[in-house]
Amino acid sequence: MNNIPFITIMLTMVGSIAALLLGKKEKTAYMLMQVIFAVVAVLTFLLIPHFVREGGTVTYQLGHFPAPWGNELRFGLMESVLAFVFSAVMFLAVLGGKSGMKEDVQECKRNCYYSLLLLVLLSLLALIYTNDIFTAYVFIEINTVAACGIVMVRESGETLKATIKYLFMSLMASGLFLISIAMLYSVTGQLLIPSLNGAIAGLVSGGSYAWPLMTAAVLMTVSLGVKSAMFPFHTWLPDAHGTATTSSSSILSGVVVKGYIILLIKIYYRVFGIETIKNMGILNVVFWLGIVGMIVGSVLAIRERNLKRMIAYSSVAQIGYIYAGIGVGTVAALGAALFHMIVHAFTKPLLFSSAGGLIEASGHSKLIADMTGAGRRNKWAGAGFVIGTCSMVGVPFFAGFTSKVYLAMNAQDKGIIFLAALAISSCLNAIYYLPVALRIFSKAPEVATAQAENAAEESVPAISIACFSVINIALGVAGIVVITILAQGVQIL
Amino acid sequence: MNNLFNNYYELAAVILFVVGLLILLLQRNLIKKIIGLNIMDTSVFLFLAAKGYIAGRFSPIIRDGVTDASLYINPLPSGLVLTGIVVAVSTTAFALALALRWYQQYHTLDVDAAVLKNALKKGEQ
Repeated sequence: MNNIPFITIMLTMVGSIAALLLGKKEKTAYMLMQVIFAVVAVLTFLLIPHFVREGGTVTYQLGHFPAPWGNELRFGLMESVLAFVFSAVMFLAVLGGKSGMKEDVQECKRNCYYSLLLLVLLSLLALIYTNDIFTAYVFIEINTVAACGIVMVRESGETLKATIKYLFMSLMASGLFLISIAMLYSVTGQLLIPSLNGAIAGLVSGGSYAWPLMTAAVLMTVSLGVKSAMFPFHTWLPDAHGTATTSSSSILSGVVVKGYIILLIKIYYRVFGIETIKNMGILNVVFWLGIVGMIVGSVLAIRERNLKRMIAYSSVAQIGYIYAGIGVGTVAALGAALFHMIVHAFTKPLLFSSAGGLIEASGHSKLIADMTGAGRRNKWAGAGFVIGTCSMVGVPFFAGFTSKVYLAMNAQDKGIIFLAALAISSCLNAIYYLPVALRIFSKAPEVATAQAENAAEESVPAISIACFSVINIALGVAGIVVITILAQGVQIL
Repeated sequence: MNNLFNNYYELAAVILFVVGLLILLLQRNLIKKIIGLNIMDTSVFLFLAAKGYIAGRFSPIIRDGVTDASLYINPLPSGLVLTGIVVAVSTTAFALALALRWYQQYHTLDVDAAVLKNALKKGEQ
């Protein structure tokens, strides 16, 4: 049982090399990748009932060196739930983007693409499990390069531009993270999270080195904020997520940005301690940036004429919800933010997969104006888009509604502001999602129908859309189960 | 003020870091951006190496079977620098590959000019 996280990390690492070595056997590489995603999901799922029953966390020493010298993995309920969600979403997202992938990725490069996808999961798992801040830095870089790679894999002028923007912003952020680690190391002499926590608690209570600690905390927030598209640093996201191939967009929006948020949560709660961060005033800034991001992201999405870019801007708003939840600063609100993270991880890939189907059904045009009747030509994609819309807008009995309710309920003294921002943002969501949902089911002009008839036939990401939809409704109806589990998980963060 | 002069390594590292960051943010030429990135990373390595150095001690390689830790400098920052160099090299390689592709596509290394050219081309069509 204790070996499972290490095994899953090694499995993805070996798989990513094997996928490259498989050379021309593209189908085998695809099967290998999907089997690994499934195995990781199943293995990680086995951890959840164990931790629900037993509670507590496990610290796994790599190489059997004791605490201050060795490298460690640490995992409990929260980590295993998130790792399960991430691997499951990756499995379904690749399934949902399969037809788009055939079109956008050259056949000779597909096994490289699978290798990159495995690296994405590898780095996410490592970011979730690691108990060492320098290891986190290394895997941040692996994640950055792999994420830029899965944008660039669809070769065109627009993805090139998006990748360069994404890469340079990410690398700047990595540099900031590295210097903040160097600062922390120079004042504490530690890199392992528990030892760092002890050393920082000592420094804070002694009142020494207040400025280096403050600078390190701010730099880490900015750096992970850039990488996870926190509001003022979101400019790379619509380009990267809006131009990539369908499965890449799903994965980037659904899971990649969340890995960094989880690392930031770990830094807040386990490195500095949430009280220290609160006293530095950082938490309040994060809250307000989240609130502004919720509204600005939605407003920017309204202006978009391109369906995928519109969905990408909606991600900026959703990241705002999560940051606002974290910014409240209580464990209950953190649980709600994590639940929203999971909901978004299942909803956004549903929307991107459906959008992929709709785009193929309307003659490969990404413009919303060309989508009239696309939902009739590709019924699965149409239905999936409507369900995703309901969840995003917050219709009762869909996942988005439940998570928004819990976010507002747990906002404590910031409840009124949070509720107002939620209401405005939900209305704005409705303004841009509903017209699309209506348009794709209205009657299409005759010419377009004939043109797109054959395209609709071949693209059926039906299984993936059905799974995502069922999960969405299940999370909406029985979200309380997941919330209870998460609440138990964040208690022992 | 005295502290600043005593810790001149760190001061130099932070100044270099800011120089690199500004080059990365303000230059429009991709190669210059990549150079800025490298200055930034290298400044962190200087910072770490300076932190690990203890005056009058040897590099942490056991010589003549002497294992007394008080004769050697702190090896951990050197390890971090080594890891950091590997990471910096690989990200630089990736960035250079993208810059090459950018040049092949637009025949310039200037980010903004290429975007402008692209827009003009679209306008002509």
